Amino acid sequence: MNQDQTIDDLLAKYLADETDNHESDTIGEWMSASEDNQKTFDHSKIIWEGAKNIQHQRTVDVDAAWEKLNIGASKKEEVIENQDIKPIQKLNWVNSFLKIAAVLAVVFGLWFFAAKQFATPQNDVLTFKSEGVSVEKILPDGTKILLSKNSTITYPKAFEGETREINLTGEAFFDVHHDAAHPFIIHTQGTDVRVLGTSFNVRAYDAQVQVVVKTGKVQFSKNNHKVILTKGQKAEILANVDTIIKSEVAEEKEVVKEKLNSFVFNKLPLGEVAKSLSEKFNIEIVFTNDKIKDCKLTATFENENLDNILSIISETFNLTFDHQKNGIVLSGEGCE
Amino acid sequence: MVQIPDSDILMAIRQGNERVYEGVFRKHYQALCNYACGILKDMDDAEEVVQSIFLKFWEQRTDIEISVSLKSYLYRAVHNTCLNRIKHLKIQETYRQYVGDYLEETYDSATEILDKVELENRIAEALEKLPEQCRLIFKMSRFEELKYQEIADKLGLSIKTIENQIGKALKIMRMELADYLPVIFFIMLFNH
Repeated sequence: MNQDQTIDDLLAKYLADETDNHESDTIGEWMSASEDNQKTFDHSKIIWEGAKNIQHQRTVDVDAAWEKLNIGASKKEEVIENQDIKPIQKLNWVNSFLKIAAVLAVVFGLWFFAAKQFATPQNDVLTFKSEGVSVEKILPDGTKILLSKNSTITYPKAFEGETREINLTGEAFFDVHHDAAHPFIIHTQGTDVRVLGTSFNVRAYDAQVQVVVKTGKVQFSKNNHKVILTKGQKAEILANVDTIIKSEVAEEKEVVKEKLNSFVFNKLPLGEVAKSLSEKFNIEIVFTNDKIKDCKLTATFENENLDNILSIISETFNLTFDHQKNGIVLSGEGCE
Repeated sequence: MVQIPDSDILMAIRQGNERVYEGVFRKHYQALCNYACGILKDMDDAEEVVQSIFLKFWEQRTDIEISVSLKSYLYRAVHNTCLNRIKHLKIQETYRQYVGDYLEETYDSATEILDKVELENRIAEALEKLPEQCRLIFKMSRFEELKYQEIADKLGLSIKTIENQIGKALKIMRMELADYLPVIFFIMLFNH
């Protein structure tokens, strides 16, 4: 074995803390013998220590992760089970969202887990599931739910007893029917969100659940831990932990919007919609197909920029839009 | 390839351009997860953190002000979120010790973070280039923290062979990173 090989072995042995005193002395002497040796030692140490940090790494599934992130709107309509489900467009709930007094949004990430768990309806318990598209559902008490895609709720056929309780997996918006005598409770991943007052907002995603209260009162609990949240407070809970972290919501910085815009369209043909948008945003909007003009839009937009509005319209009617020199071009098959 | 300036990317994201956002996501996701994993020691947790950051970023896209590069911003966000997560978890003392180094390094600058990421990525690449047995033995020593004797017993090899293989692994990786190591060493000297 040559000298270098011995030194390399010894170096590794030293870094692995396997050398005896004699060997450690040898390394020390070798290091101080030349600057190059010192450098070799330093570099080896960087590798040795850096390697420790990569041990848990693995290649992740970026496609699945992007899918899971789910920031895109639902594209395909796949509705199952109950007949009273109607697929609804993003626009309609934007509209109703503005009107409702109590809004509750609960989101969390491990939908695949419970999708299995709740797949079989049990006695008097109904399961409602969305797949590729958001669906609207009205519960027996009048509470409205907009269930995002790949989400599941289970609820009793009739709400009996003192509370109204449901389970949720995935993401949903709740318009809770006000009934102070019968608190509404949402169970998500070991946490409970209990509606005590009227106006509040709950939001959670991934394994973390976060509740932010706008007005009114909400009780947020996990096992024996509970907090009551009132206006301007928020609470967070992490996966597999019982500690609820409560804090004040920082005063949100008022952002100066470029331009305040508000549109209300009620079954208005896109031809007309385009005219109002052109006027407001001072840009030409053209169609590649006259049938597009016939698509009737019902939507409310508040302070949305043009691209967002166009994205929503495009998603709704399966169109694409493109910024071109002479303005915006909307293309697609259109409506009959 | 055309390099799109960060300002244009940010503008597009602010305007709700999902395709641009998806591009950013795809470009950085794996590396960000690797980085988070270095802190959290668990790839599933790491993915969760990185996803939550991308989700939050998208939701707050109109309000976010970024004074550094987008890449620095993302790593910084991952760094801080991981540290918060560690702090919030009522972890056992052993785990706390395990990640203690990171807790003490809360004030790493953005460039330090990026340097660390770069170094770890390069080490991971170099590690993959090692001959198979050499890599296996190196991983057993470094990742599973087995003593030389334990590795020798498990693989039915002599302890001398283990010494040779780990020495060889270190040498090959050092040569593989010969251009980069002096640079990072110099940077680390300055930072500490």
